[in-house]
Amino acid sequence: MHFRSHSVLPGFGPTLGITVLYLSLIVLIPLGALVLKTSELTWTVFWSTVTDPRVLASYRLSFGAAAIAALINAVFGVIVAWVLVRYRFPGKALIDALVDLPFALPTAVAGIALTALYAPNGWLGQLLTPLGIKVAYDWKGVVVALTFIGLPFVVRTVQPILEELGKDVEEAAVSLGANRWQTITRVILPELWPAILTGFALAFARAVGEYGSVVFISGNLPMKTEITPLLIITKLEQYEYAQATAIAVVMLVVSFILLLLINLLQHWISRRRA
Amino acid sequence: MTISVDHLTKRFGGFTALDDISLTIPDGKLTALLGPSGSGKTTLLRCIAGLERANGGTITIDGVVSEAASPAERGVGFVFQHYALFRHMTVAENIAFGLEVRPKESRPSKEAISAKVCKLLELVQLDWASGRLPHQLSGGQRQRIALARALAVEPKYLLLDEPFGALDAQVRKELRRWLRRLHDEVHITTILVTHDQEEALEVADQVVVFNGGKVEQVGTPEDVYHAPATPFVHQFLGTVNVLSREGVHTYVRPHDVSLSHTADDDHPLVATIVAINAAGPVVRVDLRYADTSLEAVIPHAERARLELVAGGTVHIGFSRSAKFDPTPDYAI
Repeated sequence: MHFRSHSVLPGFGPTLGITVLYLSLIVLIPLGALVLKTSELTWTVFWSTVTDPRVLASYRLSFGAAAIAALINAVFGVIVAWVLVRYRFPGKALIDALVDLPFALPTAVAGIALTALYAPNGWLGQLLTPLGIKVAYDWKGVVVALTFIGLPFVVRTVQPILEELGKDVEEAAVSLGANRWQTITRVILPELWPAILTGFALAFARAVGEYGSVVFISGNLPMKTEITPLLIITKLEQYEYAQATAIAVVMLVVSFILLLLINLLQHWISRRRA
Repeated sequence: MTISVDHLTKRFGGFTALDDISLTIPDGKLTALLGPSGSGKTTLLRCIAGLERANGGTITIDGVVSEAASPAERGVGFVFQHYALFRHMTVAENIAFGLEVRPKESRPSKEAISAKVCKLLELVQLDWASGRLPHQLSGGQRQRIALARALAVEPKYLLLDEPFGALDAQVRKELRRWLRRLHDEVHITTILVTHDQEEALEVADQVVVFNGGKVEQVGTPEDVYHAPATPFVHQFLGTVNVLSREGVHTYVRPHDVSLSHTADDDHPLVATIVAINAAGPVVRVDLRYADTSLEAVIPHAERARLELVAGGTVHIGFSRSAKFDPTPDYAI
């Protein structure tokens, strides 16, 4: 087998070596240890652990809320990126910096702040409660927290593509008689799909694994507002290490499959363009 | 069916891109807006297209003042310097776009659209490329597709913004000849923006020379080349020698410098030959007269007859020249 094609670009060997070593140390070995630990369980215990109704409910909440949050971020992230790329206005640099803040803030701080806001007696909560909308201590609260932490991804992946796209493509569409809506749906969005999908996948992956900000706002009601990472911590606190890793392995496999599907979809879309 | 521009002014912040411009574009002709970058030519084109709103003055298209009209309502087709093709659409889809986005009532049938696309692809000689994506084509081919796309909506006016500016010299030459032939075929009123004087002089029926947001001269290519109205036009269109004597600037094109062995009325000045470059269709002679460097261009036969050698002296005169008062407010 020939992995190596002759190229004037130097360093294929060393860089590939470093890549493999690095990924092994940082990603593969810890994940391997996870699977190894899980294998201490018998098949029956493993199966009953990962299909426990409480755990199943937590999968639904974790993956469901992460998907909704990533979707919200995909829509609004594109709008934010659009505004940041296309317009000049006072305070633009500030807004641009604000986008990254969810990355910098300790997630627990974010969780506590969001809880204080959305709790029934909080600033936003007291406005929503009379309308019968409950956010804190509900699955909606989980979505809010996951939306918060996933905000930068779509903005930062779409922004450079929009910048590169240039105004003249839009102007071309307008000069050919396209209205605003046609320009957006037929010209701009098709160009952005791969970037939006990448941002969506990153936001989704980040949200699935999120723990710190969620546990405060969710209230952690069994079967209702428990996320999977919380159940893993619970198992750990009960010294059920193998069971904890078992749940983690399932989560990992599902996440991996979902991300793979998103990547395939993205590949399929961008193949038209090369 | 004309475009006329009256006292048009456009500012970008503190920069005046168009300074009280008035101009009429002749019907059915190819007009070149020629000038250095930042001279306002592209801004004027974008104002005519409706892509830019002027700060003052009016643009009248077919007798209608088109202040608020959208680009499509003005009946203009626009071709961009960097093609601006839709990357995710095939060549055929790109060309069909302007017809596909029409409201249902006025949209041609699918068959009519694809027939039209075929016809346009033939016109731009790219019928084989219909299913390709833009990135699979060369720059020159992409620009021809962009032209076909603009023509698909049957505009009354075709506006080309530096259409060959991103292409290499050889392709540029071929394409501008092709554009001229195409214009002779379809006779659509065309405005071409360019900073390349050779391009403007070769393809246009009328040349409008821009400088600093103002029009310097309007005329046929021959007019602006042989009878430049201002020092700027003189300098911008081709090489020129500038002699400064007694407060008057004399402008002479290199081929209007004539050389002789003997002093006579036609050759009153004596110059030193600095260098001779005979590599090319003509011989270039670098001269020094008083403190001024001059360039003369003569046929090879003339050089042989005069037996010119570097370092020698020669009598020179100007068969054609233009005199201007020194105006320091222009620069190239």
